[in-house]
Amino acid sequence: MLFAGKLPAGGMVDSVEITELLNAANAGDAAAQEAAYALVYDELKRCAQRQRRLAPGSSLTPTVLVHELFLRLSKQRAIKVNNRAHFFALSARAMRQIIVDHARHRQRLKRGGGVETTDIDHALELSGRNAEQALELDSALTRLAKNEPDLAQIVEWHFFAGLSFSAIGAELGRHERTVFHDWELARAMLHESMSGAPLA
Amino acid sequence: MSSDARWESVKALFRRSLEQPDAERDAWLRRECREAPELLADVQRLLAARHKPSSILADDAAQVLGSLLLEEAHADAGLDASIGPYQPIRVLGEGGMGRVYLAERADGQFSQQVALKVIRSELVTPELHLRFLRERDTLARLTHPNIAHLHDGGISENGEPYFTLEFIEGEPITRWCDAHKLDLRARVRLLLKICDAVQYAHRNLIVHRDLKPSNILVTAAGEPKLLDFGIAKPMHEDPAMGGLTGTQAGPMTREYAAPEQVLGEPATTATDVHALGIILYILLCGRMPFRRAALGQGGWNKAIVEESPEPLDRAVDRTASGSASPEVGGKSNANAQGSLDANAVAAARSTSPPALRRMLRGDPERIVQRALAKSPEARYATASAMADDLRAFVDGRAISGGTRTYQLRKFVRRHWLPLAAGATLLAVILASAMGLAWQAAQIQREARTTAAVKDFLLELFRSASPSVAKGKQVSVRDLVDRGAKRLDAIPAEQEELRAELQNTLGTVYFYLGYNKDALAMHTHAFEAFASRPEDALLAASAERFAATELATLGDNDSAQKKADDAIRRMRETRQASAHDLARALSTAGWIAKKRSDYAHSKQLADEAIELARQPPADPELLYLALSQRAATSRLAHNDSAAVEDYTQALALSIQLFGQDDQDTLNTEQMLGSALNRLARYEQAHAHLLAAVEISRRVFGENLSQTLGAEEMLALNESEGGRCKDAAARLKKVLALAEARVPADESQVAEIRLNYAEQIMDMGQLEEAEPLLVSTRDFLRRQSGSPVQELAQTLSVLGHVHMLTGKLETAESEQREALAMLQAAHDSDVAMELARLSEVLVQRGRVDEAVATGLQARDSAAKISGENSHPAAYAHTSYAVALLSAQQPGPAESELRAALKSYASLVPPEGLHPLSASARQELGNLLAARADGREEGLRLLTQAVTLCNEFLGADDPRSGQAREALAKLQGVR
Repeated sequence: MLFAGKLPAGGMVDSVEITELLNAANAGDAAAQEAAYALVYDELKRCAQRQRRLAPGSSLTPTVLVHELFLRLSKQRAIKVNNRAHFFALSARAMRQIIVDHARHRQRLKRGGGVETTDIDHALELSGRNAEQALELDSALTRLAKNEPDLAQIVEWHFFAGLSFSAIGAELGRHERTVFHDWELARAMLHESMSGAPLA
Repeated sequence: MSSDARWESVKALFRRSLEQPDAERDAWLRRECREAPELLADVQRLLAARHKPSSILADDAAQVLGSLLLEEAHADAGLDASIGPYQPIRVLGEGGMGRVYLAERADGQFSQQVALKVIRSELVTPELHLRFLRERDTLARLTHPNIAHLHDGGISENGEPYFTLEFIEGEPITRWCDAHKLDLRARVRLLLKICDAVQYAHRNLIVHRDLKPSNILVTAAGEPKLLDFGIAKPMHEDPAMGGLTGTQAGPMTREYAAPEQVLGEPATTATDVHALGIILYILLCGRMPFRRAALGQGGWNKAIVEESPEPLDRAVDRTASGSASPEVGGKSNANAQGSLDANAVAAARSTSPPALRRMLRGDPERIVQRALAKSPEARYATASAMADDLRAFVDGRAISGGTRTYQLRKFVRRHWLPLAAGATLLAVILASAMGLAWQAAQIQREARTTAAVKDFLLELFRSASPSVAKGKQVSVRDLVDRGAKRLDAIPAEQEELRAELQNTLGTVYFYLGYNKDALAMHTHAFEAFASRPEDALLAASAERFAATELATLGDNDSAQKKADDAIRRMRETRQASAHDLARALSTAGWIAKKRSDYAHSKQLADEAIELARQPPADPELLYLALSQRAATSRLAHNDSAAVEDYTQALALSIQLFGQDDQDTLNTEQMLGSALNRLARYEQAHAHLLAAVEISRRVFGENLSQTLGAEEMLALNESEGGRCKDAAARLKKVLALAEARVPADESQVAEIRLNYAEQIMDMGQLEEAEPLLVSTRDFLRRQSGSPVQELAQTLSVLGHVHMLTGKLETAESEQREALAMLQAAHDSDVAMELARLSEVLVQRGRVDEAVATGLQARDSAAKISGENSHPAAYAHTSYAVALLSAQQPGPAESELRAALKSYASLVPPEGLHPLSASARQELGNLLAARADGREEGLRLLTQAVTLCNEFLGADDPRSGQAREALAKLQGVR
């Protein structure tokens, strides 16, 4: 339990710390894994909020977010090659969690009384569906991971961590086409699962 | 092909078909699947499912996050400035009139949260302003428990008009019903409340005009609340205003509109009835009434005006693609709801699709069709007329057969009253009653009679089947009544058959809890059997049942005579086996126990147990007899004997019924209680914890059984000195009990009482008092509640009052508690006497205090024994009275006796938190003597430690203890 301590509150995350955590996490230290995840989560969230202040909702992509972080870490020799897969997995998980957190928050905002229905509300309504769908996707993905962990990983890396099919192929040592086909299959299964039909 | 292998083939085909050019894919796939056509549909379905136009997966994660962040920014806006005396907390919604915030009083006058509606300054047109004010006036006139009510209103600093409403935290009625898996009747009961609210508004000349699920929120307490009279219009509307608010131009939600609204005709009360009809329709079958819903806005309008609602039972099977079903279950839930299949719809109603379809035919269909009539005149004239029909449906004698009856009502006090037995399905009861009858019949009777009984019962059930009953549901009670009536038609020469059937129906009545009918049946059967020597055993067994029923009805003396007679008959006939006799003995023993004749009861149980052990062993009978003897021992205050029997009974129960079973649960609890009374707290804890865990698995976390079991566990911790654990546990249990829907008020009161007493013991008097007051008030209102519970509440409350210096109140409360118990001939009054004695000391009436303290001590020793909490407590109180009467010698021996009791309860030293005061008093007493200084110092140190830990350092009693210790150390 090397890194079970509390995370530094606020401020920039020490990249060296992330590296150490990733190394330890790779070596199977569960506490380090949690700590590394928490650091990446924090960092991503901060990136996202910075983006939001600059240009609300526009230029934000997971690729930008994850790569901003990734670049900064690798510039400081922080990430060894064999840590990359681990890092993407963590980033995807963090991104997924951030979305779930915000979607839940969004849904809480929707609850309660006295709401009227008008056009303005309708605009909000449509995107309220975003939150709903995000949560549905999250649980569909959890279900998928139970039966088809490989497919679920591709969804996480591509959708949540923004990795291209060729990058994923390179990480996993598989052909880009294969990865794309897996993505198509996973997406079909998720769509079915999200609309209530049984998976597989 | 196994399903795994099949799935692998589907995946492989899917991947390979992606390699094909788009135009050729389908043809290719059909060729590939020629050998395995069952795979074709699956692969096609998957291929089609890749692309879904509105899917979140068409975006990427960041776009999703981006829009979520944008919305948050939007929703957080405007939260800085206060509006009137209110501080907005967050945005609840936006409408044409302005925003709705969740807000609370900025001046801290009330902590209550409200929904605050404010008209935005940039939108203040004369028209909106007027509507806003109208809404305020409308709402101000409505006070109904199921309508969100208006608090106040005013003009903000920015000149924006606002008003505040009761904030309803809840879920739309449709979603709430699904989430709680409410069956049809429960759903209708909920809607009935809304019908009443709508009727109330109508009586006040207000039409809502925008009734829909998202305007009917159900609170955590299960109460539906009608919101948003924003577009409600007074019925006597001034024609001059018509142009402004526009009866037809005002906002309404298309999906819930009535034909007259679509056609621009005036809205009336019948418009609200139509909307109630749509909501009812959705609640019943989970779909919108009109199939044409899929066709967009124009289609909707047409459907509303022209299309008749699809019959409910058919709508259940409507597929997702057949209906867009917008807004079912609240707006944002449209997706999830629209795609539910029949299985999911039925599951959300705690039933199966065939059963649901059956239930929807008949009355519900008739009500829905009438409420949704196209012409307002053809609908129910009022919401209450609709409610009348709905109520008739709910009250109909029909029961679905799937209703669970939870009987477990109990009263857990510190003295561990036993728990009653739990839940059973009616169907199971019936089946087992019939099974028993058949079994008996098969052994006893010739095959022809048996077949006749069987035919009779089958015919009875057949008459209840839907095809025969013509859609009307029949309750089990009806069914058995019907059977009883048919008995009259049996010709006299078949008297034996009639007796047989009476016997069987009597047993069914008995299991259903209709003891009077059961008694009549068994009595008739007994009389018929008794005259025929060949039916001696049947006569004895019918008589045994009659005895049980008499005892259940409260006539214990007659019951005992009958039971003794049944035993005599069993002994006399050679038809009876040892086990038949054991059963009769067991019944007689149970009745003797009810008559408080414990010696006789034990004698009977001893023989029953011996017989039950005779081969071939009947473990179930043995289990029953052992449990019964244990219960008798407990009542006779022989707890060690009870522990022995319960331990054996527990092993049998696990062997017979398994770990997760009501009987095992009860036995664990009874064993735990008996161990508890022997102050073997740790062993008791293990069994009580096992009971909690079983209950959790069998009943779920927050059903009353589980809460009761956990409450017992907490009381064990409390008595064993683990007061903090106990307080935390009781707090948790109380919160769960309060959150239950619907709440079981008596259980809540009981847990609240125990929790209050626990925290009072820990010095949290201010928190305890209001809990006790509300419990007292509740129990006073409640006519059937046990006297002991109210007496305990008064006594604990009196003690709180004494500790806070309200001595007069305290005395009268203790006296009332005592009088109440004495009137009920309950001699377990030691705690009340001890507390009264303490009050008397405080009031300076020393002689009375000493006399009362003495009574307390003697009563405790007699009822609870020397090694008990009441004894320890009473010794201490008596000692305090003696001390104030200047009798240090006797006081010292009382205090030593108190500490001895505590030591036996919490070995080795008796460091129970409640022992602090005895330690302090004895420490003070000894410190005054030269030879007692050392022991005094030790006792005072212990008192300080206990006080600091359990009362907190700020409690005056902790202060006193510290002072006493400091003084002694100073003298040294």
